[in-house]
Amino acid sequence: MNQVDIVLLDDDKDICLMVEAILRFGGYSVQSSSSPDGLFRLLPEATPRLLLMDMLLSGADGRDVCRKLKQDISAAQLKIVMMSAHPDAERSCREAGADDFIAKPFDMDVFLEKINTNLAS
Amino acid sequence: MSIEFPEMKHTFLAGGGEMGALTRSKNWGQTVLGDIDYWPQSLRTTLGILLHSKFPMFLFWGDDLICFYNDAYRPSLGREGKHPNILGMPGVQAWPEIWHVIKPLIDRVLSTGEATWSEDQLIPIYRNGRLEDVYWTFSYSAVIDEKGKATGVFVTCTETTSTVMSNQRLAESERNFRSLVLESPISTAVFRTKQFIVEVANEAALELWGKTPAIIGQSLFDGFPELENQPYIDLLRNVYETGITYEGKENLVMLRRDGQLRPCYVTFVYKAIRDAAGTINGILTMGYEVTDQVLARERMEALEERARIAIDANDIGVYDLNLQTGEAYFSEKMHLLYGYPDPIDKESYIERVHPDDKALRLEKIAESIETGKMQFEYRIVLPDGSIRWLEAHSRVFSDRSGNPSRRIGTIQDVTDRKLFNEKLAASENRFRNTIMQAPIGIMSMEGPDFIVTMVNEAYLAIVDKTEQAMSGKPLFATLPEVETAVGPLLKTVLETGIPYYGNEFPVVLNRFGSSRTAYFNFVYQPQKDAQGNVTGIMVIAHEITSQVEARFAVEESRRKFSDLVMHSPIAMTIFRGPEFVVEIANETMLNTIWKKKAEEVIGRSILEVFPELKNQKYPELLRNVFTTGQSHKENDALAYVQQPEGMKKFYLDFEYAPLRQPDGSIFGILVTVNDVTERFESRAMLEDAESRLRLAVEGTGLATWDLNIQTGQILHSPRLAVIFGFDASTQLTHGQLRERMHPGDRVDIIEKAFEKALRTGTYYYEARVLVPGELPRWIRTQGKMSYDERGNPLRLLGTVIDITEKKAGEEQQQRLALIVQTSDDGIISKSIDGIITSWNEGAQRIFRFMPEEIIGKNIKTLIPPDRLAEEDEIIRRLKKGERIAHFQSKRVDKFGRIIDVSLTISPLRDNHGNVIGASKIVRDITREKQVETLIRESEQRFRLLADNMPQFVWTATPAGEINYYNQTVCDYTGLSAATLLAEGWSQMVHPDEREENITQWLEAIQTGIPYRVEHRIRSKDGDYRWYLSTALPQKDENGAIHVWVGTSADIDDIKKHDQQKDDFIKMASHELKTPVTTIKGYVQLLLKMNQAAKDPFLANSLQTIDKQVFKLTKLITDLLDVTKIETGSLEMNPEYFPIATLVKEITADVQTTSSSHQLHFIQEADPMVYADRDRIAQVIINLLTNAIKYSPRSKEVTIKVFAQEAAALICVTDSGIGISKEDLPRIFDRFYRAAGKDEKTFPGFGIGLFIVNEIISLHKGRIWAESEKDEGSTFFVSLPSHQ
Repeated sequence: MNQVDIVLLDDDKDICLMVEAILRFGGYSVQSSSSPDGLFRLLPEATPRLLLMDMLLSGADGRDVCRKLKQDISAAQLKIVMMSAHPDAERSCREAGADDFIAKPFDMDVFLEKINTNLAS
Repeated sequence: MSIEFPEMKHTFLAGGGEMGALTRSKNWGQTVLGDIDYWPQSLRTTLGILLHSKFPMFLFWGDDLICFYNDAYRPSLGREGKHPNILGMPGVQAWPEIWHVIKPLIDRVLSTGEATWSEDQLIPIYRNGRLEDVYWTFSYSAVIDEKGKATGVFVTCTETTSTVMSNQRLAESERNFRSLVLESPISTAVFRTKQFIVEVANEAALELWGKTPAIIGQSLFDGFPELENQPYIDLLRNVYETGITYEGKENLVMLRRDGQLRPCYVTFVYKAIRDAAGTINGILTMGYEVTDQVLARERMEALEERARIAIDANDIGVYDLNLQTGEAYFSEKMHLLYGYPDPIDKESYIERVHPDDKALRLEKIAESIETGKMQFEYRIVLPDGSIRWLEAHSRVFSDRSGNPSRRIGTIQDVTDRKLFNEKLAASENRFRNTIMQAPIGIMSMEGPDFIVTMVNEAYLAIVDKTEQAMSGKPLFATLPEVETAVGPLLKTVLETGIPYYGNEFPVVLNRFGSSRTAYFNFVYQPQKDAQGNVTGIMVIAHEITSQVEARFAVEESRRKFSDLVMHSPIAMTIFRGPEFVVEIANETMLNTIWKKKAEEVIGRSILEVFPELKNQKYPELLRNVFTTGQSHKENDALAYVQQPEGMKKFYLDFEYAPLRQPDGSIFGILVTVNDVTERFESRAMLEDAESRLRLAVEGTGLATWDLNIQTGQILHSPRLAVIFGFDASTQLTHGQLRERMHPGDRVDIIEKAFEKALRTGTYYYEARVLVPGELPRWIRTQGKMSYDERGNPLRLLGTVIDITEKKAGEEQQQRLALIVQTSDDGIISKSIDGIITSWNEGAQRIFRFMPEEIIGKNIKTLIPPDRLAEEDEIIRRLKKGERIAHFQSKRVDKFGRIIDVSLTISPLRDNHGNVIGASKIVRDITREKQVETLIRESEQRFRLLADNMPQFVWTATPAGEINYYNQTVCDYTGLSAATLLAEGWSQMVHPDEREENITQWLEAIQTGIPYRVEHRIRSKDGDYRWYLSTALPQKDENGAIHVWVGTSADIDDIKKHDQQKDDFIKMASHELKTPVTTIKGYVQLLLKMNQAAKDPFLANSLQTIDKQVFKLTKLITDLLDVTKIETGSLEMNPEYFPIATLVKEITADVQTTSSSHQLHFIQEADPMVYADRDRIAQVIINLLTNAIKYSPRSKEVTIKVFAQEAAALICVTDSGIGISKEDLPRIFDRFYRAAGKDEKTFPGFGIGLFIVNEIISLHKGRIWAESEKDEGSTFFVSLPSHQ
């Protein structure tokens, strides 16, 4: 496995595939995982600059993952953008330390713009 | 040859301690220096100094710089080092490790001859088995030998390693300390010198002080001027001087916050900093601010205290002043007491204080700051000018640092009590005045020397002395002549306490220039103190000298008088007593006038002897003389007397003269008669003016007058003119006099009196005279009608006297009596043994006894048998002079009915302060008691009901203090009602809601607006359940709140159910959106990828899918919004933004997706609004899409933004299908859809406008529509604008 720009964590495999496709269309390298365990195996090798992560992850909470990563000094440089279709998600995601939030469903142009902005900063 | 002794040989090496011995014993012959014997003198001398010095010294000598050192130097070489090997060793061998340092120094000294000085120089040397860092302070100086050459280097040195090291450690510790201080979250600072220069102050300190770092380096006096007049500088000085640490707990400090001085509370410590010598050179302070905690606690305490006092005294005004901020709280009763119908501010209270009491008030307030308590009475002046007496009680509370912070007090109206006391004092005063002016001599004396303490006018007149001569002096000093007569009597009274009554007691008095015997009736009344000891005597004396003397003289005089009568040539007789019994009659009377024998008349009433006189004027005249004491003389009076030959007519000149006893009382009449019948026949004249004038000038204050009834002509004395306000010389007409009479008295009094005089012959009235420019005068007129022979009224003769003063006194008395009589309260006075002595109408009403039925009876008549003991207690307290106020008890009326009464009983005292009785004010409180009982019963009923309700029920006082919880509360919380009342309700409330709860409750209490809150309440198991608590104020007829009644209903299940529903909808929305996300993502991606391929079918299909997915998403969002609106959880995140800018952006966005319609945007203004940007965007999008959707034929939509007053308006106008009049009011209802045959063709869910309306309502805005069927619609949105 190689280093990538973005790692994606979403428990819905279809969404993973769709988002991967859009990100690749946008010119980014991407790896994805459908569980936090997979994510933590993936991260040391992939060393992404951005983690795109769903909030509700079938038995796990993306916000817990976010908090954990934000406390880990070695991951301090990692940008975390969270996504969700849940109506009240944005505030709690930001409270958990997410750098940005994208509501599902999203407009592709808006989505890519946000990814771009977060990677650039 | 000389003999040399070894010890003499090397005297310079003698002594010198260990090093001296070592130097001596060393075999110097093997060194370059050679044997000691050959050492030059300069070396010897130098070594002599060196070895004998107690200061560390070292010497390098000669070309090889051979080393010498002394005992003092030795410790510097340590253990296991150079000692003793380097003695005599060349320098370069002895000090290899520092030779590169010291060799240049040595060379310089040797070449220049100048000494060096080095301080705290680091010169590491080998000692104690290792190379050590050693610090030195040393001096190198040249030793000059005999040839004048510098041959040696003399080193004096001292090791300073330990000093240097400790200084270094000190500096380091200081550095550590500073960084510790500067980063500490506790405010920390160091002040140096007595000027308290701020040496260190960390961030926290600057924040606490409200200062910038500029204060560092400044004195507190310059940098912290607000501390002036606060105690902190003094505290610092004290710590600086005494070194005793000061710990301040929650001290009040005025500190700068946001540019203003505000009270802050700080907990801190001042600790002295000492230098090594223990001298104080600074102060360390550490502290933190606790303002929020203190204020929160104070608010709670204030609330509790205020509520407590309010409950204790519901009839009393209560106030609470914050002495530091000036904030004030006044209870409802307060402004009512001050005569204001509505609440007023602090100053308005002060305005009403009586000008004479303002100074007293300030004085008492100042005093209370010292003592913590205040109690005084003062007057206020109400707007109608009336004066009320108020009694103020208050307590001053201090904050933690002992400064007064609050005054809580009560005000009570005590006017009635004051008035009563004043009346009592006035009555006492009157009593005293009465004594002083009494016509009987009264004097009181104290002690065995009979010092005169009080003496009245009458007594002074008796003894012919001045008050000055008697008062304060022993009686017998002033009246020595009476000592023998009364001295023993007075002593006996003083000793025994038994009064002495003297009757016609003869005393020789020196008075009026002579010494004569005077006679007195008197009583010596012992005066006793509270313990019953006789302390003095009161004398009440009445002189009867003239009576006694007269009695002695009377017999003699009577005898002489009888002789006179009996032998007079004129007819004379004496009538005795009111029956006019003939006592004596002389011969002339018997023979010429009466023509009767002595035995026929003597001892009989004259009217019995001559019954015919009864119908004539003579009995009346005699009675008049007998009662008035005025002689009556008449000439030519007509009299009919029965003669043996029949009734005969006489004309008589006669005189009736009163005969008086020595005491002045009339005992009889001397009658002198002269028969002038014959003479009269020849005379026709009646009266002359001269006699009338003589009558008129008689008397002093009395004016006389003579009215001719036939002519109306009046003659009067000069005095009459004066009384009527004219000059004494004026002669007035009857008309002039009548004119001056009070119009109100003319008909009712004067004319009636005149008519009566015509009928009865007696004229009497009291009426008012009006003299211009003066107050009305009261006069009393008396007159007597005289008639002619046929009985026709002829003349009215009379007197007038000015009785204004007397009348005024009477009126005053009547008024007072009227007050007592008409008082609603019963006013009764009784003697000390309980006998009722006065009884007013109020008492009559309450007890139904008439005054005559009860006066003289014992007060116990009014006391029910089971309460008789009360009276003994009342009397016991009265005797001690106590007043019993508002004592509630029961009494019984005339018909045995039991009455609830409130009694106020005050002792009545005599002139000497002895309690002689009591005055009792009785108020019938039967009704109040009944009402109380009714209230109690109704309350019991309420409680029974409340305790059985499943909801929590509670009540609170108007001040917000809860005073009742029903049983349900106790059952749920597991706490007793007493515990709940004591600990307060807030403890049961979940901490998350508690603070908000208290705020809302206080707000409800203050505004009177019903209280409604949802909160969690802890059960006895420690679980919380949701309750909806509401409280409604119950108001009395005046609109004042008298109680709050609250209920709390368990809404936990509803609440949880709502939450579950909410969660479900949110999750459903999430689940629905997830597949949409995938579809939308792929569609958009495919659209992008197809841009290159340009497959038109694919592009159209994908766009259709994208559009449908957008609709689906909106549908899901709308459904969620409806749910949120229903549960009240639609949240707003407002911010300030220009509304037109937003509308313009949205219009542009919508235009891009709706190529079918033309959107026109008109901006007239761009007002700022405070709103949730996304929600407002949602509203505008909705209105625009609606306008497009419902305009299938027309292609134009206009959007306008403008400002109107304080509102921002947006209107969206289309020319579409429009809305019918019937439908227009319902378009914002949920699930409403336009119902018509056309409308069916328009898809939609019917919730868009409902959501829009809700959003605008939440912004306190308004949305409405104007529309005509088939003409189009305009939707208006109005939002509050913020410029």
